Amino acid sequence: MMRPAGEQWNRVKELFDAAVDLAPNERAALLSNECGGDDALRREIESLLDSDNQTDGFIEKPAFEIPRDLFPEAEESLAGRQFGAYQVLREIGRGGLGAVYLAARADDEYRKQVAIKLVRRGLDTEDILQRFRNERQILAQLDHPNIARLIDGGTTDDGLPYFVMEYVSGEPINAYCDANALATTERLMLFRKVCAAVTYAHQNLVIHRDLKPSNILVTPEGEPKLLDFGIAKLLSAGDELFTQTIPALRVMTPEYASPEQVKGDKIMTTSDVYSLGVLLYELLTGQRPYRLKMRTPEEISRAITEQEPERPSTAVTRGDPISPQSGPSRTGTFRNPKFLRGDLDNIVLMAMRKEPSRRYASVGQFSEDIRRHLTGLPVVARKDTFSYRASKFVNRHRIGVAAASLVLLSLVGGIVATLTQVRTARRERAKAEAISGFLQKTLNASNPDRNLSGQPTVKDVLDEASKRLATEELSDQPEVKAELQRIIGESYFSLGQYDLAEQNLAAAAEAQKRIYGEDSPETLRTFIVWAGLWGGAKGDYARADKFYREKLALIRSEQRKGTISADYLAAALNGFALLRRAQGDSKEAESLLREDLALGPYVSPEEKNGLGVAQAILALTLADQGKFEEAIKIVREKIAAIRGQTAEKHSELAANLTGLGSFLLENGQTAESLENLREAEAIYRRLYSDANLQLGDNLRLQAQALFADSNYSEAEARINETEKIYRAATSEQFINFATALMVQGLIYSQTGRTAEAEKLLREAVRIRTGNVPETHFLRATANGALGEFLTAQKRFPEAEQFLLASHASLTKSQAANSPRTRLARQRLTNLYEAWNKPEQAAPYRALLESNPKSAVGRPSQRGEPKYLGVLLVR
Amino acid sequence: MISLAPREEVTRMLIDWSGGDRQAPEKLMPLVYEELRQLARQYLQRERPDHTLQATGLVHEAYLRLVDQSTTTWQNRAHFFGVAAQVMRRILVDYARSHRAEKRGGGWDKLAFDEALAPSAERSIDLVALDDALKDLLALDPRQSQIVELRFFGGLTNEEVGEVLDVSPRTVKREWRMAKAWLRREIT
Repeated sequence: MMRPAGEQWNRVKELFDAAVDLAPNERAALLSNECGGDDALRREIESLLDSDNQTDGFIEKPAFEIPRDLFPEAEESLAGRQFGAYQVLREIGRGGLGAVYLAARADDEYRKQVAIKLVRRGLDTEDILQRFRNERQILAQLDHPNIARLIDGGTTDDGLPYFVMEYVSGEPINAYCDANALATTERLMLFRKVCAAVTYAHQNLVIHRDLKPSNILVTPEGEPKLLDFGIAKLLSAGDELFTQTIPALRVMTPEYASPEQVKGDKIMTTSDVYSLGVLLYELLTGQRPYRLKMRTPEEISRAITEQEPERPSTAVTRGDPISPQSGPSRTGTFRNPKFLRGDLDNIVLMAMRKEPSRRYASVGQFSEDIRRHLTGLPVVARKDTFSYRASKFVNRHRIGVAAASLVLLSLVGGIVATLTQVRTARRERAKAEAISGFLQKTLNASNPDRNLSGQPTVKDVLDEASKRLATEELSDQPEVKAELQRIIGESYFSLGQYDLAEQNLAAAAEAQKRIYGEDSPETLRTFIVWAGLWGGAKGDYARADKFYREKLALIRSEQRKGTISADYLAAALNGFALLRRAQGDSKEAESLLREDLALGPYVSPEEKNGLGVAQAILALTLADQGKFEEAIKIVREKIAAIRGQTAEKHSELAANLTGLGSFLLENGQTAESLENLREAEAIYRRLYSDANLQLGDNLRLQAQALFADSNYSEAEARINETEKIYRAATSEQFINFATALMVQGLIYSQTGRTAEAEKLLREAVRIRTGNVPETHFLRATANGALGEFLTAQKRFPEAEQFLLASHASLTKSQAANSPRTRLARQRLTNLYEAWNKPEQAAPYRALLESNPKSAVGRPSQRGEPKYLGVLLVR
Repeated sequence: MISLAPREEVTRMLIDWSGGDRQAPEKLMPLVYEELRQLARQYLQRERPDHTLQATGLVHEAYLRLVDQSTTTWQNRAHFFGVAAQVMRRILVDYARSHRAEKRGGGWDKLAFDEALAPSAERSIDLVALDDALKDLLALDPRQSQIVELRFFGGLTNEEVGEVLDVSPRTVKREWRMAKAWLRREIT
């Protein structure tokens, strides 16, 4: 390139300045004129103009970030700072992703110590937090003596995510082995403990992804502790970033990363097998597996994906060991090539094969092979021969980890419980293996094609599992099969997939009845879940009623005997309470719920969520009885408690927000009501697929609030979606189905579609007459809505008939100042005034005046509904 | 030498500079460097993560803290910004260079992590190459090179750059545009 100097440079500047603001054709003309035959000058200017076209943003912002680790001491003064309930004592480590601090609970007299990992600035906080919210329950559930527990997480006041973990005092496993000059056999035994912990995590569908010495500490007592389980996943970049160059290296420590991680392919349990293989390689030889010159990212990733590692027995004879700690003896049983040749070479290299399918299929198999070696049995690993057993699933091993994280808590919880139960009986080991084998296959085969992210959703995994179980799969283990079907049914239930839930529950119940008998704990457990479906979504009240009346006493006594857990008794009480409420006996529902809530100390942590829902329902039953103040108080307290505990937004919070929204709606506080309902709606939409009943209920309540605000078009949009959801997910027997019809009817009536309106309202009355007793407020409100409509149509005698019936019923079931009763009186007052019978309106108006609305929260801003008021139904 | 508070010392050196002390820039450097480091530390502690730490703020704040404006002239101010921009350039380029070295030698893990941190457009500029190109530009056109240093490393506006170099902002703008085009071409 020409480097014009002096005069010529000034000429270049001059021409550049002159040309730069001209249009292209003008530029050409200018340059032709000015440069004459000086082609070099012309080329120089053209190339600068060309470059000028591309300077968008180039060094424009002076503000490039100052790299934070330019001033490493800057972040050090965190001692004494508070993270949630924890106070930082001192820094104990620092990595590229952030620093780790020793901290203690500020309010804990024993000052239990924890480690806090503070994610450094610059990582996508929102993304990390979202992942954390999604996975914290799964991660927090990992309860194994060799895994450091994830205790909590959150964000600092200035928005940095942090994780609270069990504090482990120990040293990295390689340093520990060397410092204590462990013999090869001792190293292998220690390594097997690590394998056991990783296996446990895999059974819980968590893959570590970043196994390396600094994540495996050994305590002074010689117990290994695995740190940061699942953290790599939480911190890994978003999917779109994964398409960029050597992406996995971003978070993975490169030398322990598997080929699939380096390539950005899906990560599986066998990726951890690989990383453990590298670790074992290093523990046995004191060497890293690949010989590298430069250690550039490119070189490392090429080595990982292409280079065959040297045999450990050869590598051990290499000079200087890489790890600075690995000084000691290369004699005796440690780092003696003789001990590595053969079995150990084969075992390590099998774990480290490039193709996941040719490695050990699981960490358990890897560990088992080491055990066989230690006890002198022939090992499975052969010198790089094709392992047919592993290759069997060659095409299925593509999903792996992605799936792992997506399986809902309930499924994981259920399977863990199952495994634990099964494990207690050693002779039933085969069952445990059958389950984990099944799970593994299911996860790996789940078809993610249907969604855009390319990752299987929980539903994909469940679909695959239930599809497999519907065939001959596991038919040699009918007990296991039935149990899995129950778990899957329960999971579908919690996902709002009621038909699929019923299919699986029915299959499980049928098999269990045959295997164990009708009154066995196994069968009862399945029926308890199933009955919840009848009494709730399916609206099959008669069947549910029969089950609870016949079996509740038995379930109570089985729970006392310990054959059925408190979780299932709680579910039964909850289901029966819902049913009783639907049947109009909110008083009995209240007492069942109080029994349910009293189980609090006995239920599992997962069921605590369920009890939160029970409390919300208790508030509903109180509201049914007109006890609004108590109801609102319960819900507000609950919401405050939930928000205080966690920033996570789960169904429990949504249920309470919806409950509060409905009470506020009845109290005439529509704006506040809508605010709460919308927050809950957002949560439901995030948690569930479309046809979810809770979402349907929420939308219906919003429609009611909007209706009350005369916002008919928005109300109609919401009630139409409600109706769609109800029709897709349930039957017209569902308690709220008629309510939706009524709301729809009243909207139609307001917008001039009177014939359709009347049809809907009469339909609602018909359904309610069929499925709730005469004294039930739900029947009264259906009558009231129809009466209101007829009043508007000036069909006074007809209207009077429905409104009087409604009023008579409500005065029996509700408090005198209950909004429902008040509305019924308002409607009668309106009727008689419109009918020009003021003397008949007078007594109702007097009753309204002598029973003012109970003061709950903020007073209504709208005053009493004058005409076609709020529908006081839920 | 009696050690003065940095503020007085810096102010005095600037005045000496205007009075013809040719050693002044060299003496100023370490003081400015120290101040910038300290400021950066404080920034890092109190800034919210969504506020990127910018060279701009640092240099200006260092000026307010280190220079007694009641006794100094515009020329002192210009000198100070000139030095501060140079210091920032040195700090940042050294950092980039050491990371290049790490890339070849050890410490690879750390670099991988660093690159995981939201690589902004600015970060993706090869500072070492830019620094080399700026040296070439200095030989060709000292003023353009200085404009880039003041703007890009010092975080000064065109007006402030004009003040430092005693030229009009319009000239700064014109020269800046060409310098960018030239540098961009050289380092790509």
